[in-house]
Amino acid sequence: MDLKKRFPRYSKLLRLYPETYRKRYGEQMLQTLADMLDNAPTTRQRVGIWSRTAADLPASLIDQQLRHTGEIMINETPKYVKNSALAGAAMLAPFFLLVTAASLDKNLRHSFLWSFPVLFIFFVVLPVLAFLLAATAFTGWLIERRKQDHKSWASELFDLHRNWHLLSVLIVGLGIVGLVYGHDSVHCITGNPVREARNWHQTWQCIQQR
Amino acid sequence: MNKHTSTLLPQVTFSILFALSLKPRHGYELMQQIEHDSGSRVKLGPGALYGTLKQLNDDNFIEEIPSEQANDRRRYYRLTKKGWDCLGAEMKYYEQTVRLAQERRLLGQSIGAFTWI
Repeated sequence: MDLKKRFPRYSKLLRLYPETYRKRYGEQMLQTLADMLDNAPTTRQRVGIWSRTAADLPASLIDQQLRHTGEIMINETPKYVKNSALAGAAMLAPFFLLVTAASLDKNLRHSFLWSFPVLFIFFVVLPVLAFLLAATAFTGWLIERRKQDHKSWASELFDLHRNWHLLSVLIVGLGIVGLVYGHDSVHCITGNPVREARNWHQTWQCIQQR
Repeated sequence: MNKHTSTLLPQVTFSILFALSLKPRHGYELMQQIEHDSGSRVKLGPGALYGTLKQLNDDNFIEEIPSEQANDRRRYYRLTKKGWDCLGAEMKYYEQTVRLAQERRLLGQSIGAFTWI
């Protein structure tokens, strides 16, 4: 009997494993489950086997997905993509460090670290640079992979195993700028660095005109 | 150097290598042998078993061999030379531990809270 028909739900769940793992071990996992159940004469034993299998599945899935992502990161990701993701993450770090430090020590808000130019650099310039760097690397790699793999743009775009690091930097970078620019609660704490910059630019233009 | 040769093996990895030391086995046979060897303390599901088998295969500790029967879809696994070396090193460690435990008269005694105090 076809094991996929015998265990339709379990074989559907096996699709959540990385493709390479599934192709290599999917059928064997089904066969082993079939052997276990065939050798369990009582209902109690069969319930025990299903419970063990159900408990084992999530941990194993997460483990294999993480391993697969790690393998891709080490073996398939070009150096410029790794470096871009690392540099992007490093550019986003000051925002989180400063916000965390300021929430732990309120006096920090009266120091030079909470003044306009520093906030503008940490909250706007660096996240925008991180975003641009990640976007450039992402586009370059996407085009490169499309030439090699001959897959659709959509499948390359949503291949999270390959793109997660660059997409994280893109989303977090854009998120920080959006938050700083758009959220009232952030303005209350920091002033709005983007508007501050605009005011500063206008003031500078006035000074130059005079 | 592979991580498995320099540190102690995780329980599941050791159990698999130990079970394969008798003869090549397929997944279900391995599960049964591991359960038997551990006195039913180690019970694996298919996910944990094949995850570890993949890791051992990738690290060249075991290898896949086809079934001798024609219509058998099961794949069998056996230890490689590297796998035997690793298991040997692990067994030496356990041998030493057992010897120490004998010297300290820890075997066959109940080690309760009172003994530790």
